[in-house]
Amino acid sequence: MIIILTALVALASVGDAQDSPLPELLLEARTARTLSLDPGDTVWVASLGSAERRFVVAGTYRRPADPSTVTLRDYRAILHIPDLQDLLGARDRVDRFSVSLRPGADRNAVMAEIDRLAFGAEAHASEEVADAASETFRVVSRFHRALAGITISGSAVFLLCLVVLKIEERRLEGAAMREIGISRRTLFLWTFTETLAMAAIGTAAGLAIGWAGSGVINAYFRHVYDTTLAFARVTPELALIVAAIGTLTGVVIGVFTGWQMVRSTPLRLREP
Amino acid sequence: MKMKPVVVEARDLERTYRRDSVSVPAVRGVSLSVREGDYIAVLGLSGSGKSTLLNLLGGIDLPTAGSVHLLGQDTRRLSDRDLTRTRLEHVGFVFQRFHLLPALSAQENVELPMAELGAGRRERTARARELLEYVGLAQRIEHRPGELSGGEMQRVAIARALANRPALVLADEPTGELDVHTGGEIAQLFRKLNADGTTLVVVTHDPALAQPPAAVWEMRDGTIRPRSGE
Repeated sequence: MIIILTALVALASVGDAQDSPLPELLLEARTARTLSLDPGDTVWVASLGSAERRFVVAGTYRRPADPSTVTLRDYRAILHIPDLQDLLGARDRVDRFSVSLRPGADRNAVMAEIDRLAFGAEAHASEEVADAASETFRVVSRFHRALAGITISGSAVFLLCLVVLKIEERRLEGAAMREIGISRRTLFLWTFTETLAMAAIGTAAGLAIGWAGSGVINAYFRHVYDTTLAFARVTPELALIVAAIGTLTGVVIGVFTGWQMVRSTPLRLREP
Repeated sequence: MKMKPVVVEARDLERTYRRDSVSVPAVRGVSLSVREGDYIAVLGLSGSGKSTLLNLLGGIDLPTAGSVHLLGQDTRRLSDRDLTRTRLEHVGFVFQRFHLLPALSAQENVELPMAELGAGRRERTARARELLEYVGLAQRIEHRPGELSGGEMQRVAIARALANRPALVLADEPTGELDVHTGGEIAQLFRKLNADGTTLVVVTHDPALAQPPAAVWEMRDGTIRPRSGE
């Protein structure tokens, strides 16, 4: 059984392991890098107000990709529970520990057993803990959705302005087409199709930029925080929503602009 | 000698516009017959009503009073859809500013009216190439309007006007955007068109377009009369 010790231990490098067997610990990779420690090195670990103990670095591990701790710059190590208790100088001082179950194990039964064995302990399913810890991120997520809504609305207005300007540019062209005998239907379909194509291209470009942008953002922040967390993602579901909104916007604006082009007579279209 | 059939006929044509509750007569009492094979050049100052007359003859606009019979049909009795179809099938238009679609090549611009009429691709392509060759642009068929000079664009526009073998070609200041030399070439092309049987009505300031064999009419303040000596 191993446990994560947070903020309680102070680590100090002392050099290579000696002959007598020392207890082992695992260092979080960022901690090991910061302290220039490698597997096989010996470290002094001290708890607050207690004696120091030497450990040998058995290896390193990556900190779990947890958005709530990604910005913390603390040192982290994993110790065996007996070693940790020795270090703390008191038994039964472990606040939390995680239990991984084999696939198919009865989680509820295990939780009940832990509750029975350890008086005062509360066992929680990881989903519950994650759920409780995620409220902040849910708020952030809602905030992002609101931003997305504003962005999409702004883009739709931008597309509308673009198309209206284009229609203004092309009024004479439209008038001439009507005069040479191109039907309202054909002209409407042209304008509609063109607008829809613009919306589709814009949507595709937006998705491509989003996808590329998320790659850059992830690469940058993964480097900064040394984590595997995804900071930005363009999921298939998101892409579908964007495509649906883009298409709907294109259809609505296409109908509007197509109608603008054909509702007047050619002579009216020619008027400034 | 047997008279050629009338292509378009205007009788006592009036067109008045209302602007800010003021009536502005643009065409007043115009009567005119255009027969098959005619070449009529209408001269006049800006604002004399030339373009309005052309719009009325081509069924783009409808008269306030009087009538226009285009190929025997009273334009006032035709629906917008029928008028559009009549223009597509029987009237070719040439504009001062060409009005070619910039995204299409010269050939595609010429094919446009044929496509609207439902012609097959092979027929359209062959006809467009033939027409572009006729107007002297055989080497420029794949070029887009932005890659052509003004004179070349007007030649494409003329080829487009001829695409559906119209009974009548109406041209509104076709040399208005061109230099004198290029305008002269376009005027020459119009004479060639007429010599080959195309019926033409051209409104213009350009004397080059009013050379024989054109029958010249003059417009002033919305009225029309043959130029002295015609």
